[in-house]
Amino acid sequence: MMVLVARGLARLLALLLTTVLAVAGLVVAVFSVQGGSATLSLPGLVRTARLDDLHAGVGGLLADIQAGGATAKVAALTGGGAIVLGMLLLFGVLGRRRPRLVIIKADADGTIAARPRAVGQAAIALGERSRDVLHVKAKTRPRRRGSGARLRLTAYHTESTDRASATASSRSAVQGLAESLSLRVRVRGRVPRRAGRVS
Amino acid sequence: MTRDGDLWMSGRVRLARLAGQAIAVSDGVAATTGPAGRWLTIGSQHTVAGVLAVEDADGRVDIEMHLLVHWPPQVSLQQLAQQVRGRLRRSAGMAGLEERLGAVSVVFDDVLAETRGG
Repeated sequence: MMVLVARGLARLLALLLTTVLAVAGLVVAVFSVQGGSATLSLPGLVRTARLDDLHAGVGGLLADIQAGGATAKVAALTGGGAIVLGMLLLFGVLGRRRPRLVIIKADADGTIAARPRAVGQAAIALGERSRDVLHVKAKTRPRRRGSGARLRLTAYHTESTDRASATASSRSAVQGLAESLSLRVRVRGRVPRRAGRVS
Repeated sequence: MTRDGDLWMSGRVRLARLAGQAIAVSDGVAATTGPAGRWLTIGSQHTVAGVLAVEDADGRVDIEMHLLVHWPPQVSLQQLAQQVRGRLRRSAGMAGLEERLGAVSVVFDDVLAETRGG
């Protein structure tokens, strides 16, 4: 109970402090947009930020940009590049790639789905049951819309095993999974570079 | 809110706990918090692994359960998910939280497969 009271008090205090800070900031901003020589005025801000000194330093460059020509073009290109870079960085920080799921069923009750990796693992477990294959690799790509996915299986088999029978046995091993998850299966057979060793 | 021992527990956390219990008593599945450990619900003193519980403005709680499935499962993945969902809806009904339970989603995130030798 004490913890709850303390937590409530801390939240109330944080709310009050942020409110006071916001109001104070608003007051300073409003009073800064006035003339005269007071501390909270536009000339006062210029003095505080030493904008006069800054203008003396970059005044020549600003005059060149205003006049047009090569300096203005370089400045425009640099500005444009900075904007593009900024947007790229923002996209990199804020943009989140949501992994797509293999939807099994979706309705008002909720969604039943599986992660592509899990589907791939299940397909590998099933495909490797066949005696004709040494190893199976799976790649699952969920459909953009609706349920199901594309499952691409690579069945590695020995040179002595017929490729067609290896792919057929892998296909039949995953058939049940494919039907229950609406998977479109593509199977290909391969002989590993060194028989029996698959990386 | 309800009193559980000395703790006050919100409906959201209670439903998350019921979801965690529904997973725990289901054969062939287990809860997973994912590689980043993000899939969990944290209450005041309760943490429910593998369950995300989101409450909307109307007080309805959507549940998302993240599961690890032992392969091969006894029934299809869809049936397995519906069994877990059914358990949660029944226990929510018994706890008087039926009205607050919204959509219940089930995501199979990982597979524990038996190797060829085992």
